[in-house]
Amino acid sequence: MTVPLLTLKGIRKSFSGKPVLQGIDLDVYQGDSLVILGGSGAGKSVLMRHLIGLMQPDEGYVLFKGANMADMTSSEVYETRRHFGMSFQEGALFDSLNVFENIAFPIRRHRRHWSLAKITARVQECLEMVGMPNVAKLMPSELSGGMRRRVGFARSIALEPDILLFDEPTTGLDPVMTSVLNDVIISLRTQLNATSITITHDMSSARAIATRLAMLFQGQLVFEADRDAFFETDHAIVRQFVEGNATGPLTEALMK
Amino acid sequence: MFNWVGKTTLHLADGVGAYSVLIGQTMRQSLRRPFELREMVKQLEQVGVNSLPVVAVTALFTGMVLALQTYDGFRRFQAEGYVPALLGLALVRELVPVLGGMMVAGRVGSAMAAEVGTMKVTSQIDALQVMAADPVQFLVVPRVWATAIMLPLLIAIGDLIGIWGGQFLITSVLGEPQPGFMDRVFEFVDAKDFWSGMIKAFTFGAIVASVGCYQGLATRGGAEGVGKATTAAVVQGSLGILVADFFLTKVLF
Repeated sequence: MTVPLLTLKGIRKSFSGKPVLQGIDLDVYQGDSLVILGGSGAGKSVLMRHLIGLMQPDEGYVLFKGANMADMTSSEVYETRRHFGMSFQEGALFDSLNVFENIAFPIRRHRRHWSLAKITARVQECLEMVGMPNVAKLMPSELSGGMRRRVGFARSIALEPDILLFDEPTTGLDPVMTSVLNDVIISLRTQLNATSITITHDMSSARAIATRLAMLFQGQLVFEADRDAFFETDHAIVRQFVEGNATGPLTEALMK
Repeated sequence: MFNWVGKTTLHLADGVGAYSVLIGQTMRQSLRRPFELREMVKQLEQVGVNSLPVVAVTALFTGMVLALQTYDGFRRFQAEGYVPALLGLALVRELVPVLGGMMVAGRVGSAMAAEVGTMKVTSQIDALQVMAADPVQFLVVPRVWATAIMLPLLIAIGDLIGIWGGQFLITSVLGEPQPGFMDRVFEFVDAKDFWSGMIKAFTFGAIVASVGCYQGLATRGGAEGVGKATTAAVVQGSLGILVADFFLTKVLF
């Protein structure tokens, strides 16, 4: 059996006494496109932050290629993070830098010997991969929400990561832009031959990009399956979420 | 009531602890490569060059009002001749560093808190960490050093402007020119007085920038949080200057 790329074991996390994650177990394998579904406030973003070591679990551990992230020195953590490309909800571009400098930022940090010409070529390549070849000179404030996210994608792939993380990539975008971003995500994954983990509550996006899905509910992964099995399951929580019903276990839990 | 006292104490201790950790990290990261030269130059300009008008006006009017007050008071017992000495000592040792520092706290500390705070609430700080750039090294170190380097320079210029302002007021506005005004100033003001002001300015600069960055990094919860962080940066920066001023004066003299 192959070793999972990323393993989460018994992750628990609470904030000022309020439990957010209550024992998460998850294996992510090379080539997976895992989508983690969950309602607002289910702990999706917190889970994502644990994957990349931005937050440390109160209990449990995260293994990257078998190595425990909690045991690493800070330089090892930084080295590990180079294998991840994370895209944030609103893009999180540095608004004091233009698009070129934003994408060049991780390259300058990690490829110190690269010449400017090489950096420029790589930035252009990344922008082309997300379908926006002509925006390098613009400032983030001049871009629309969808464009900003795509620039965020471009920045996250600048160092050719093994694992792509997408934090709600399509939230708040119109259906057309959502489809565009779905296509970008799929093509990035195939072109880079990367593993991807996406958290979202957008079903159309989940259907488009997932090979495997997991349902996060009240700080636990209540159901996890391959794509087809996931959409056909009778699991009550998953059914309600997939179909978007107003009544069911998800809303009952809210009422309590 | 007890609950409130307990909570406030804990909160305060938390804050002091977190701030001390930030100072420690800043010192450690200052010595580590890579040095963020570009960011540093940008900050030197932001803090130094762009704050000069504010500090200059502050110093000018402080010098003039001090001359106005003391000249009138000293004349009552024919001691006008000591006005230059008092002016020089008060401005160089105390007034320009403290008032200039507080103006810079309002101008620079608040801007740092707002900028870093906005970066924090829009996940840009997380993005930095993900791209393996330590936020302390990339944001805090250049800001703290730039302010600590530039504030003494600003204050040195402010010292001169303040003294000149006093002389101008006495000569032109009160119409009672004192020959050898500047000589009288330098007769009383030692190098030590000047350097004590510089040491203060350096410390105040470090306080203003580190408090601004600390508040920025501690920002939570959207636009409201950024507003709170900005206010806290100015208030705590200014208070920090006043308290540090007392202890520095005690140690230096």
